[in-house]
Amino acid sequence: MGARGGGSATPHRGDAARPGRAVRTRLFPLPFPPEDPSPIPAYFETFAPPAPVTEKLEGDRHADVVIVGGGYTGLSTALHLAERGIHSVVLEARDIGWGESSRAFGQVVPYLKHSPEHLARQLGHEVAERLVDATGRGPDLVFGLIEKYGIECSVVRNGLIFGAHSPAGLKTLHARTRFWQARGAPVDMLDASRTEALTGTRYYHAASLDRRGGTINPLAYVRGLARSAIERGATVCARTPAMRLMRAAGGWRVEALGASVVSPVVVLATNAYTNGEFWPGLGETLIPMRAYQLVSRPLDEPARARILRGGQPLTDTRRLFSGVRRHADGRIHVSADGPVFDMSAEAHVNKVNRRLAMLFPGLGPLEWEYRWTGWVGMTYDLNAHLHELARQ
Amino acid sequence: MGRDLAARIAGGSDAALCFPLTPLQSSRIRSITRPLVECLVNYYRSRDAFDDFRHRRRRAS
Repeated sequence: MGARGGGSATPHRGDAARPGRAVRTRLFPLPFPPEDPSPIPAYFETFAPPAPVTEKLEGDRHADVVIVGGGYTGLSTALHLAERGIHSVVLEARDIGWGESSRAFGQVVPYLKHSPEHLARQLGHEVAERLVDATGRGPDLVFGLIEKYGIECSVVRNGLIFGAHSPAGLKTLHARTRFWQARGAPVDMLDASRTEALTGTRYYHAASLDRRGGTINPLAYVRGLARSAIERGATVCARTPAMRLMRAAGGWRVEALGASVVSPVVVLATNAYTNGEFWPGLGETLIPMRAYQLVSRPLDEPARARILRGGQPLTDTRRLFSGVRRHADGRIHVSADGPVFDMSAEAHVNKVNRRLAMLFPGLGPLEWEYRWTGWVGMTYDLNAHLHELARQ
Repeated sequence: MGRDLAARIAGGSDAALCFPLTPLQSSRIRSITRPLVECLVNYYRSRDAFDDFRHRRRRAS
């Protein structure tokens, strides 16, 4: 699907595969995941248990379910299936969590992108209610799994702080806080002095504190999901790229590295790292965009004592890339801006330094010891989607 | 999502899914997605920068 890299137009493979159609060139080609030059984040690797040993897929086998993609969705599905006594085979093209799952900022949040009101207009009241309610309980589900399976992933569940960066942002936070308080959620507004006490910044006149959320080591979490799924009976095969999917007696055959799995059900859980050629049209529902993360050298003791001492990550109501967290080892971690589609680009470090100087005057420019990027799978309506691609 | 998918595979109903099933649809603006998104992101960057400027002015005054 589409073309690799940016700038020049190349033939659209999908069209070339359909007989009788002329090859169209793409004027503005989108990037072609699942290529990604950035490895699994070394910083998270430092604090994560090793990846579980996975199986090698050999021969032709059968399973109740085949899952393509060894990230949060795929492994969580495998684990929940295993809890129900349903056997699944997970095929991950690279290492466990190699995609978005290990490259995230590491917040566990009870929100979606859109407000509940917006979702109600998009999806109807009943569906929106179910979605908002489930998302609101999302952190309970994640932290519950972590506790149930003893997943070591540097959990800190002290809540999430959202700063109001503008009067409009403050209005948004007030509305959101009222919405969740009406549902009994532990969300409160903080005045300027309480915000400063928790975050160390005087930048915000007010903020909200949502105690449902927290932070994790995302790489450790996804590895923990894999280990737990394997212990409950799932088969996980890393470095096993699924190459072809076709109908077969018994349902579907997924071919990978000279072996295959047949099952009545296949789950494609590859998100931004979707190979558009695997299922026609699936990749075209996604807009793969670059996300950037930076982690500093450890702060000195006075700065550690002052900045984000409550252990909460700080984001605010601006439109782009505002996340700041402080790890237990005293390093600052930021979610940064950068070129949207360029695989080889760097984050806008100067912009990060300017923003941190605004938030924490006197901190001084930080030295960024760890940097990584990855693809994020945006959709056209900014909602996650679930598609039933085919039935038996 | 994983919990819901497992429940659905195990025989649960679509109505219980917290994410509704949606048809696979390619957007009509797919061919101009890249420049459109880049413009939108630049617009958001400008708005954020302007908000920071106004914030500094409010603080100064």
